[in-house]
Amino acid sequence: MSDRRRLNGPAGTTSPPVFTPSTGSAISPQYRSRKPNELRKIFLQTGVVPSATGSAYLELESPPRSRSTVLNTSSTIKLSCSVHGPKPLPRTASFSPNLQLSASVKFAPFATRNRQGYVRDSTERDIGMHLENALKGVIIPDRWPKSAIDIAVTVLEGEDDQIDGDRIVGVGLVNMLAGCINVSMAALADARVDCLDLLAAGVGAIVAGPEKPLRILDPASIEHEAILASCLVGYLPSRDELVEVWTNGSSSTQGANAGISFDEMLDSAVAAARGAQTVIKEVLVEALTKTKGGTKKLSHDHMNDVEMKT
Amino acid sequence: MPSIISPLSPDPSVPASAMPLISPNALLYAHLKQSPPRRPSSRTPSEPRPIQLNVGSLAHCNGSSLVKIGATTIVCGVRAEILPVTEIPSFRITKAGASYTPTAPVVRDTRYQGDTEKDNKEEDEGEYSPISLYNLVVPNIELATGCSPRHPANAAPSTEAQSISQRLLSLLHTSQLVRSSDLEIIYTPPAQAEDLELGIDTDPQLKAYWTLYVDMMCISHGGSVFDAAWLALYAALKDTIIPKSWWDADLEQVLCSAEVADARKLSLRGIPVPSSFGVFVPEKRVLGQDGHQDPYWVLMDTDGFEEEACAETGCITVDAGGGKGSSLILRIEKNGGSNVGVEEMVNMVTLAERRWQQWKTVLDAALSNS
Amino acid sequence: MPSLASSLPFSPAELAYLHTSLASVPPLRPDARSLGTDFRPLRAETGVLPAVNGSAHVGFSDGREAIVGVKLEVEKTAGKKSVHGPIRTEDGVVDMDVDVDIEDQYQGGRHSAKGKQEWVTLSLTLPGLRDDDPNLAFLEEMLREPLAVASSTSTSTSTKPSEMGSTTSLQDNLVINSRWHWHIYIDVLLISPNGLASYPLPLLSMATHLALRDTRIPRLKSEGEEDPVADDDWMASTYLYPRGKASSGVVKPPVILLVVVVGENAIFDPSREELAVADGVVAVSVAAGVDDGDPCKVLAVRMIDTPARDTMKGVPQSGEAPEGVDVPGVWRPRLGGVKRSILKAVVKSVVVDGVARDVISGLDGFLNLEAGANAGSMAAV
Repeated sequence: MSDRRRLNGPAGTTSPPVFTPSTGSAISPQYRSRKPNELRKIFLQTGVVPSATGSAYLELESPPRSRSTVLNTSSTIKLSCSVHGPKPLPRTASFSPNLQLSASVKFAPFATRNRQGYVRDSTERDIGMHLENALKGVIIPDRWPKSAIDIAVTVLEGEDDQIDGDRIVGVGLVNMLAGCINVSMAALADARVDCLDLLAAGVGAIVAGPEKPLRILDPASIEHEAILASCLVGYLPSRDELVEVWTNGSSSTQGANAGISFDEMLDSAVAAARGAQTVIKEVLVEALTKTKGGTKKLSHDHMNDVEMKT
Repeated sequence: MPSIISPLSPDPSVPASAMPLISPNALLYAHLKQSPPRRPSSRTPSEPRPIQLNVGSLAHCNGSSLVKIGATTIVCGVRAEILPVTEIPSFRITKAGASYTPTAPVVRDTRYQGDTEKDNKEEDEGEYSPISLYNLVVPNIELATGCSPRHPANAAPSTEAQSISQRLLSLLHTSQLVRSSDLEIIYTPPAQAEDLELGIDTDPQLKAYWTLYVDMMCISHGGSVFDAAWLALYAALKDTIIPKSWWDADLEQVLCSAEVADARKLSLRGIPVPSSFGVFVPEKRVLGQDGHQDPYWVLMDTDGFEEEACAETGCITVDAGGGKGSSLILRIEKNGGSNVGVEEMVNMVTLAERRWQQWKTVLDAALSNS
Repeated sequence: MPSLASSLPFSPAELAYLHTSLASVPPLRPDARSLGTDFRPLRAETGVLPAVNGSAHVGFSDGREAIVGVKLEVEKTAGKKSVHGPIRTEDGVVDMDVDVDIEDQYQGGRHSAKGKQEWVTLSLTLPGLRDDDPNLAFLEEMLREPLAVASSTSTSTSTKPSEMGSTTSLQDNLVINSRWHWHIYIDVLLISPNGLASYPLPLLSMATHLALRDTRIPRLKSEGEEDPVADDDWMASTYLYPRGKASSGVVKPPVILLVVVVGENAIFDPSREELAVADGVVAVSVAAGVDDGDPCKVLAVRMIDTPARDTMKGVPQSGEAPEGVDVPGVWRPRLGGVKRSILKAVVKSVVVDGVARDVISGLDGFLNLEAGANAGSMAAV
């Protein structure tokens, strides 16, 4: 059944182009030039959607890009997030003493190598649940009785590492979730929703090394031949608490023969989250000092006005 | 419990930033009745917002663009896919002229055959262009991204989104922006394969079309989304590269070369630029004792707040680069209300031409940077 | 609204009572289980459905039941992204495309033994839940995810020579030859009076585990690169997860354990009451060690939103306490997450302290029981 509220294109089915091998198109695997404990640079900006209560845009440092092939193998993560609320619950909703948070993630049709549909698929819903779970751990719900807050993340570009296959899976997806959590936290802070702590997400991984498995922070799938296991955490640094954990790939707890234990992998993810948090904090402080000095935007934030009077 | 939401606080004074929400009409009137009239954004009524453009930043697209006009942000990505003619229902192939030139497709649907001569001389694909016949260019705009409080995420496309997508499609078709010859994949059998007795000839055959999916995500909705969407679409198509493609007779499918050096750009027809406007008529109760006779203002490039206060809206699409010295009007839309007369429309065409110049400068700068 | 949180008719006083008793050391569980690691009894049978390759039916004592059916279908392997469509063998030149080269380089030329995740389709049906409910997608993904993780790291003694690799996951066992593979459809049906209120993950996971171990692949008459032709003799079929003595290195499908954290305690197989007051809910997917002595492996860990966050707070008799002050015995909705050290302890108790091993050997018990009753099926192994 085609979607009658959108333009669906030709009646026949179209297929993505099929490329022939050629000398120039050989994809040379890129190797990690960062240190094992070095994160990719994060570009973060708040206030990109003036009409939203809070918003943020996040982009990861993009890998060097070969301009000679149409098939692009080096992509990065680009996310935009807007927060609407806290606002009164709709009249139809039943009473709740707590702030009702809902979060959703949507891929743009051009976010991955294969064109995405407009209707959310199970990957998007799954990621949305992860994000919602993480953010519910950082808000203080009884500050806003009978209210709702909606968080929407739009994925403009995903780190699509799949050579083939339709779904975006593996570490690309894990990295995307980490980005979603970070961008949402920045947008929540931009919306001046007070939280328990400045939540940050980080990814640690175990990759196949030359002799034995290596432990790294912030893995980019294109840089490694095989990622044995990956671990994402949503971390509240000042409480040393985890609000979200998502690991994937086999690991044992005994470091003996398998190399690196689960605990160590978790610790690397936490280290990555701490790193991301410093970036978020810096951006937020900078944004705050800027608004204090400059003039107010018209439609934006009168809550901010009131805060400054006191 | 500490109160966090200040409207509950006893402070009687209403902060200035809440005014647009409470009484947009009165606020807009208060601004415009100054002389000279100023809009809340301190623009004059005829002054459009500046345009920011960035092209080619998305990795997974054939072409992409980001357009920012004031608070409106649109990201657009073009993705090319292949539509084999065997997939098109009721596609009929006839053989036209024997000679094949790259710009003039030879094999056409019968309904279109009459135009072949004219097409050789460029322009005018007529109403039976394959692009509109088979929907080869598919623009869609998504507003349900949480881009404004009125467009919640995860909702089905709103009426506004559907209407913008349709308007984009019709402007694409009527302006004939994309050439159908750019989208054809033609196969010329090798000469030695010719065998007239078996009915195998070596005339070029149309095997497939490229289909361009133009997807636009509205990141931030700050009024005049149609203008921004069209400009984003235009810039993304300008940035689009179509890989070199050919029909592989053995595999019976289209193959493409992954080399950028082999790929080509689309050659677009002209540069249509739309300019949206709104006509603001203050409410009677707001006018009160001022005693003006039915004042109204024409606001070019309305922002989100003005758009809500204007009942009468319209859009003029011009192309001022049409070689003949004068600009062409491609489309005039106007609905709701009856304040604007012929003279004003003529004025607005001049403003639209100015907008065209502005876009041209921005576009040239962005394309040369990329 | 997440259906997990709704329909929990506990008052703040009940929640406070439950939380206090579960947080005490050792935990006092409402159903009188003596240890945090105790499981409730369950019933299970395999091979219940006649028209599938494998099936299982598991019932928990609280009335929840799950039925899982596994179907296998032969499917043509789509070519690599670069060239697909009607590729015939004589077009071998074209088939040698870039992507194959890359993959050869990555995996030492063994790409034919690597399956794709798309070959495993898991669908879940929960009565009263819409198809597009995010909870459903989340549960489905959670059940599917560990299946795709390579689970063994030793010389697997499998029935087919194609998979002598160092690591195998479910999809790798589905490869027939370079052009054909099995597509596995796992259909999970939950029958539960409480909907999602008592998180059905362990039940669904155990049912899926048993159904997969009951799954048999028809023997193929064809060899090598031929188009697959299956033997219709059911007795000649082999198990997807070969059975045998535990010491001989058999691979078993993963099991997911649900753990709730209350205070310092980790409580396994939580009941509805225990879930309602959880500080954190963690799902740990484990695979049994290949050999008897091997420890279990963690395949995936996920945290699940705890229903205790969205609850009504209690008001002490002395009047409303100032914010941030906890009055003992008065319920406050949970804030924040789980301490890092506690999470590590949870994973440790699953893997090192042998909870996972006990669960898997418990499930082995069911299969051995059935195998004893039906010696014929054992003969096929």
